[in-house]
Amino acid sequence: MDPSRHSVCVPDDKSEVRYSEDDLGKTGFILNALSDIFDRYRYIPAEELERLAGKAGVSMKVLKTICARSDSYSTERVGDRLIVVCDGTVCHNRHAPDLIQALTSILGIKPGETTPDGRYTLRTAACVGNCDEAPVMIVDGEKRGRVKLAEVRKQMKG
Amino acid sequence: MVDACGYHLTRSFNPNQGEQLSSYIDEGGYAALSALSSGQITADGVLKALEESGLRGRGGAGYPASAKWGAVRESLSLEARESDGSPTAYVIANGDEGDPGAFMNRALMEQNPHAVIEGMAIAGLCLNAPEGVLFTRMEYSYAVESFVFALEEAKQAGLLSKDGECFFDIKVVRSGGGYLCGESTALVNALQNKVGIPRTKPPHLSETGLWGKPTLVSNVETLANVPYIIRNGADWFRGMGTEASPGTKLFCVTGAKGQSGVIESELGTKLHDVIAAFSQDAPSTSYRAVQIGGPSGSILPIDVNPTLDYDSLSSIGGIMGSGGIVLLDHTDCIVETVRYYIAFSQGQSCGRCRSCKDGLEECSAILDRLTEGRALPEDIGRLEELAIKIPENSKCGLGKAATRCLASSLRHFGDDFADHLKGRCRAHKCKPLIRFEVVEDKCPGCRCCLTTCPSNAMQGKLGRPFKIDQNLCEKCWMCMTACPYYAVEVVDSNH
Repeated sequence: MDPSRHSVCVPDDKSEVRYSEDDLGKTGFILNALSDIFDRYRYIPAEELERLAGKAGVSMKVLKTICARSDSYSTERVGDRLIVVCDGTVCHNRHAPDLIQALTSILGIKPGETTPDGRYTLRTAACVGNCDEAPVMIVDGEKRGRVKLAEVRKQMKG
Repeated sequence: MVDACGYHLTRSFNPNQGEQLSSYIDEGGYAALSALSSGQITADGVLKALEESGLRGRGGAGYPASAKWGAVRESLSLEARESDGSPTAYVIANGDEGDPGAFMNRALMEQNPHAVIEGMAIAGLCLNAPEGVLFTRMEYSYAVESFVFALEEAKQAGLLSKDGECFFDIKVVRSGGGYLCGESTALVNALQNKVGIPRTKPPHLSETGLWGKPTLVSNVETLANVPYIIRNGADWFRGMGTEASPGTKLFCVTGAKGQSGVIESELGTKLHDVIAAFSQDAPSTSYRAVQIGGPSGSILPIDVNPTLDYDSLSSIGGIMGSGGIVLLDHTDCIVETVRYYIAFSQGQSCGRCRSCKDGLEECSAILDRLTEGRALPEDIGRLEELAIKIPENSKCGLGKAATRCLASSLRHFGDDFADHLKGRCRAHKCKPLIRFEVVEDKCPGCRCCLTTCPSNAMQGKLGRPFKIDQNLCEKCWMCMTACPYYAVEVVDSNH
């Protein structure tokens, strides 16, 4: 496989996520740290989680439970492109299940999985808060509103 | 997005970050805060104004704001008596809206962040809290950006300091913790770097909250109302809304054919008047039903035209929730919508009460059967039974409210359930109950559907009418949206 294809997945900035020493153990430190890690990698890598546990003095078990209970902090590695389809009430009634099904058959994977060639990851979200533009699909962090079924291939490729 | 400009919260809406502070100050913003910090009005005066205004919590339950603030002050004075010195509190603005179909907090943080900041700072001064926390969702990246920008502006303009010393600072926490973290005790646990699960009350957060200190957890919208009340007086606020629910409320209207978005209306407005701002069509002909208040709200026929205030809604078996209004039209299947909500609640159930865990599981199974066309005749009777039993035998709010949508739709939309029992979905939404066909006369054989279909179910040759292989068809609607000749149609599968 051509390694350059993974360029989207590996962040340009190779340094680890930095935390401000002042914030350690303060209000909401873990949540903000996890959100920062997620922003950079689009998933929570185990190495970063271990580093965070060591830095904050919180057990891995607690961190893993927080990730497991959350809809957003996925610990599964993502492919080159991350496709998130919102399945909130409004999107659900505006053909989101059909979008998910179309993507499932195009990519051959279920929501939450990554294609074997590592190119696409498909996820669903409970509600991304953009109900005014339902159905919403997020490709690599970029929101696409009022997605039409017939355009799903185009949208998917970016 | 439709943004009605009639009332205070939305009138101050300004999408341009650079102009927000000046336009907010122009209309009298931060006057209330400076009056409080310079001693022109006292904390007691603020509390008295809040009490007189009758402001109720905008997060859903409608608990009086003055009572919440009062409880925090009481535990502060109690602590002060026990130990010498001046104890401090925390102020948390809850902007973690996880209800599907609600984004009023996002709109406020993006377009009127200074009202939220001023409201938090007023609470901070009244409750002796030097630090506030804005707890919001990770997904709201633009809202966070706007809020942080506004906060920096306010700090640099010296609005949050007195004699060169900063008296109030706000920490923004972006949570990806999930739906349950919106519950106030779970929220405090999550902020203390623990797992975000609720704890039993008492002790209430007003006694033992964040880091063991008295804590005020209030919805973003409630706090944003505070500066306007102090500035314009309680009588002005009481001039809007009803006797028991004064003021205005932001509603999120979605599913409307014309537009959808945030609208600010007086409490006590009729639903149809709210919808009128979004679409010109008569509501009764355009829509079938309305869902108010998220997963724990009820589904009502559009003709009921409910009055939107806390007490009127609960009297007809609904709740205000955070103010989400989802309109359902003839293409939306009521049974499928109920199935979706029950599945959502089932996923959130903690599993402590058997009636909630097992009952919702059974409801889900029955609703799955109904939407898949393999329901048993006794299923609807069983659903009616469960809709009464689950709330009776559940301890917490989730179980008590989870079947509200089921009970209300069984009462108002019994025909839809009866149709599904016979294997028919009138909205053509439930896939096992429908089939796609190509109308031969309309199809010129242009191959648009062939290139779109993900499962290779389209069969035929260029220039001749196509056919759909029903064994391969996944009923994804893609051929229908791709066809320029409207030649694909949906029919009942047992037709």
